[in-house]
Amino acid sequence: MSRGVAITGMGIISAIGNSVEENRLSLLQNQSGIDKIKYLETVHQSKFLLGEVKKSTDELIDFLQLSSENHFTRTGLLGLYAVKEAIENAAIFDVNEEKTGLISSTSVGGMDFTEKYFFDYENFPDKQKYIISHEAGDSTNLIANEIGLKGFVTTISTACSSAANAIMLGARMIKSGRLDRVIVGGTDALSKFTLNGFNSLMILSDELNQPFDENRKGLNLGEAAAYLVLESDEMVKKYDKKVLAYLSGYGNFNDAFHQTASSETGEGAYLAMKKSLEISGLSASEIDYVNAHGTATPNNDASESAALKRIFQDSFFDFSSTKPFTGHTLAAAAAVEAVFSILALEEQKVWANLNFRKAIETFGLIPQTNIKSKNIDHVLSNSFGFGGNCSTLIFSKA
Amino acid sequence: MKKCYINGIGVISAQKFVEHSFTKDLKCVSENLNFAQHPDYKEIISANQLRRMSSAVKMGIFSGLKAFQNAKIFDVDAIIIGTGLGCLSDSEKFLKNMIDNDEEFLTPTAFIQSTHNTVAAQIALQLKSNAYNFTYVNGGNSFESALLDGLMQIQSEESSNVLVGGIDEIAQRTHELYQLINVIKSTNNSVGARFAEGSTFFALSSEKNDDTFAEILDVKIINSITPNEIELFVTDFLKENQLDINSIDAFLIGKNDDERFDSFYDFFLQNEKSTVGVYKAFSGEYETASAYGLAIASEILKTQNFPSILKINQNSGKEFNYILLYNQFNGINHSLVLIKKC
Amino acid sequence: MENLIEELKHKIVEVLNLEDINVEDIDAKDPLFGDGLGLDSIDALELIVLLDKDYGIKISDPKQGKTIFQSIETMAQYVTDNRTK
Repeated sequence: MSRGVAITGMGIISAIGNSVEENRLSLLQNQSGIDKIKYLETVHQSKFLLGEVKKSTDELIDFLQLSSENHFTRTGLLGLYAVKEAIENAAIFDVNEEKTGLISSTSVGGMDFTEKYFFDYENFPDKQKYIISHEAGDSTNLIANEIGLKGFVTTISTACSSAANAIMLGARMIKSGRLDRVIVGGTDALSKFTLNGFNSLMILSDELNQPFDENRKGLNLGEAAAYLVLESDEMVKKYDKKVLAYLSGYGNFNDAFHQTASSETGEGAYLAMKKSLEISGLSASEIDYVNAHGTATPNNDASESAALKRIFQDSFFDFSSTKPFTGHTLAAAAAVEAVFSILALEEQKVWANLNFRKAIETFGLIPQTNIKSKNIDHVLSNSFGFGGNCSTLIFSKA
Repeated sequence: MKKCYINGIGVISAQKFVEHSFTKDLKCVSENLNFAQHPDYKEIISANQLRRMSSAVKMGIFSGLKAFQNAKIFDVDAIIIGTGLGCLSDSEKFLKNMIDNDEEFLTPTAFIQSTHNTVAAQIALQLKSNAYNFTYVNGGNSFESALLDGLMQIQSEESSNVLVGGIDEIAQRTHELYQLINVIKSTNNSVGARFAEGSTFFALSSEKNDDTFAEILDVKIINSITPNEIELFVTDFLKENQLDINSIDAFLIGKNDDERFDSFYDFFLQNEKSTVGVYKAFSGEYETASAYGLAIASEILKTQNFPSILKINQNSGKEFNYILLYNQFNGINHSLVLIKKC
Repeated sequence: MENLIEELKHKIVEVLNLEDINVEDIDAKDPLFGDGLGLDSIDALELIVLLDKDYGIKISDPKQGKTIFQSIETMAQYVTDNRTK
């Protein structure tokens, strides 16, 4: 049985750190990055808590040493930042030396900038270069150009499962031989559009989010970018690469229930988890840790609990949602949690589900409320998006 | 490795809506912004559902279901969409409300409908399908990304029947801005292309039938190349498919009326043997217009008739076995699609 | 109350884009959700915003919608009891 697709590098910037190491430290110290709003300019500033990256947009531009002509929006900047770390982490010095691709994902795209000037662009000629940055694919193209990549470059946008789907496509491109290497992941910056959008759905909490808690009030939004480098076995051998972990299973299915709400039985989620187990050749009992989607909305956590119970039945399983650390980072979430899953394999620890007090009565599932050290060979990570888009990834120890 | 066939096509475009014979009675688009000619959506979608839907969603569902029906398939294993700008009009609506009302009194419908994967999600709901569901949003090769995914699904036997489509809609403010930066023509003499909107869907299958249009052999995308590199891009791609330039009977290229990008097409126009055709004079330009091109090319292979209105060179073939499609958008996001007669 | 009921019927048709439905055909006692007009949870959120914007009523828990929006009649009663505009 194949071990899966090798992961040789990763990069991340999130509310809990500006590098893989900083994120690792925050997880080990149970240090959340969700706080009062500091950077985003919104009338709701005093009401909501967000998981903001602790760098202003100007600081990101300076750090990345971009020319003044650049038209990266914050989404693109976060993405470039994390892609650069991932490539360096994977010890890739010439990004075109093999058949290489970049598969990114985003839901916000350039909206973080568009919303400032959309009706005013005629009055700001120097800002008009950002008009083209609105579309989702633009941030991906800018990142590819900046790292000098000429090859297979594309963008997926399936709401909160986006990055999982990018990782999945990357794995399939490697398995089919169309690519030898691929940088996969996602990025989303915070924007007024998304904050107000989620607020109109009445699923935001004005307190710290409490996944899987009976009294959960809703989610905290966050922003982040995270990427993995996947390589074929041939590349690993040729360049004598250190493998961080393997992507051993994946699955995507649609709930087909409602545009935004998940079904009571968690059908889409159940099918995605089942498929990922089939591809990995593992049984549910071999999963040592489930990094849940766990957004702390009344609907998701109930639906996901139902699906988890269908998969694990009466067996005990260790699970937690790490969204109390980072907030819900939308398209980037699955990539952020992929990095956290790989860190769990490296540290042999189940991360804590912070802010939990009482189990959901209907299901009685209790997440790990503190870090648990144990033998971890396989981690299952869930990400579910609007439009019933349900994706699961399984990471296995190298 | 399984073969991949196009068994059903659904098209909504700036041309009059038809269910078959997409290459008949074509009229050049004449405006700078050309709206689609819509069918009667109530034929497929209930009034209660229609009330929330933008043009993009209606077009996507309708043409998707038409492709599905025409292919006479009953179960789909994957639904894969490409869109350049997504559900733009809902996005603009929510943004306008947000700005006008200073972030108060905002209603969720426009926000929800603005997510890029709304069309794919709505098709899944209509078909009550739990199938694999992906949406690609990467400018001018969004459709080809979706097509490649669909092709891979079939070749690797992950799926037997896949619905793949490309959709983009016109939304007032965004297109005004694109005129401001000369992507879209604002006057007859300005730079930019004549834009339109549309939705084209394909029902792909591992099994062919009497109504099969063509076989898809391969798809390739690349983010960035120069006009001088086009020849190598094409010849390498054909070599990977055990073919060379002489095997290709016709090229269908995504040339539009924005002369700034003409040099990308020189290689094809210089060819002395093959027929070269264009389609954007009829579809108009938009980021997934190349899906319309594939519909035209598929029909050419099925009927073996290459309408002269599409031709832009003097060569004329008698038999069409292989057609190669090439497209780019705004100088980037290039793609090649290779199809074969069945 | 009669005027308010008529007013609400018009607003609902407009806000929820119910193009095919005539205001005259809506009975004040008909269920709005499920079998009646066939509205769903997203429509409920739209109606919550309508109550805030036009009548100054703030509803913080979307679950309250179940009772308030049972029919146009229950909605009109709630507005009468709680309106600040």
